[in-house]
Amino acid sequence: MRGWVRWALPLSALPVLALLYWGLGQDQRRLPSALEGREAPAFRLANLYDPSDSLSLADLEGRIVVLNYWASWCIPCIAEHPVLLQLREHYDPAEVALVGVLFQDTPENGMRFIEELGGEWPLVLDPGSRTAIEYGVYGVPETYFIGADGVVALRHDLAVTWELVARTVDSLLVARRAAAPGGVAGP
Amino acid sequence: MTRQSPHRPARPLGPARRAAPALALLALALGTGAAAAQTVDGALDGTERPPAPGEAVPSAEIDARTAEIGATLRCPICRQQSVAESSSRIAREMQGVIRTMLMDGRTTEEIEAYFVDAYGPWILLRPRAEGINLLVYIGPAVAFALGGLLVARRIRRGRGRGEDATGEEDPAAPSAARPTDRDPLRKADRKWIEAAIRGS
Repeated sequence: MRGWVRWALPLSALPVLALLYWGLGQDQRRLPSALEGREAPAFRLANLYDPSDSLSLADLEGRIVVLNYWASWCIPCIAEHPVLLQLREHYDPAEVALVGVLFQDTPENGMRFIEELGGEWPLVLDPGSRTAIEYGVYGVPETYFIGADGVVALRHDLAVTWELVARTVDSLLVARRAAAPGGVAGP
Repeated sequence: MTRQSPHRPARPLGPARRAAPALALLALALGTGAAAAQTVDGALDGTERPPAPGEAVPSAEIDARTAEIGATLRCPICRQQSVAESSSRIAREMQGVIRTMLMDGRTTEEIEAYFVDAYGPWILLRPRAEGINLLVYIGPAVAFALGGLLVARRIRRGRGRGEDATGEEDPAAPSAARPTDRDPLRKADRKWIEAAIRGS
């Protein structure tokens, strides 16, 4: 019994050390999304250029939606912008809809940003960050990849890369085509 | 697309809610002010009753409850601060959502569930006492109890050695009757055994 106790103390420290080791290896800036694998929250948001016009998630039903939260003051948003331009260029908007949601910024600054860097996809406002909060956004840029079935497949909380976009969207396109009547899986 | 928005339509009235305005009128008629006191008391003791739709909720009460709920939620940007403490814009906007939901008659649990739904359990500053989180609540108590047991054991063993060293035993007694560190029997047990042998 005495020998068991002698071993029990250092052994009991092992799980704590393992937890510490695991914690040190984690990127504390990144958090898992509560939304992945769940239906995307519905929204109806006013157009950046014409607030009397609005866009809802239901309007994009059946399409893959890439929902990108951005702001003109966000430096990584500038870095990822060329990737969004490439996404818009590469995929058919009838299949893949890119939507930009302006996060905690003024419409004027948002419009100036687009004027300088380009971008011809729907851009919407989110007053009071209500939609951002429903999506669990905690900073920009954040991008949600929503499948044609309306389920959030991936949330990426840093600037997206082309590799990540292409791999995710291609995968969702395969699923979309397979789910279509008479569709088959495959490229 | 089924998640609820903070701007959801009013829920159907339950029996308690339907009766609330009538009770308030009755209380006013009796001049007791009981209904008003219940609302304030409910907010203070944590058994709050959601206001019935259309029922005016005092602004001070809404402010207090917004701060109370905000103190339990983590600011998504500051991380180490609560929504109530943080001066970040997202925290202020979250307080706005809490306020709106309170004015809609949502309970504290419903509001917390709304934020957990969006951000995950991470958003709660105090983890829920369930699953792996139980370790946080039970772990320290178990470790403390085990530590206490070990300390008590050491102390007891030390005392035993101390008694041996002071030599309470008769030095003339046979060496077999003097328990030593090598003796597998405890001192008290040996005494009892020897007394039993002598008595038999």
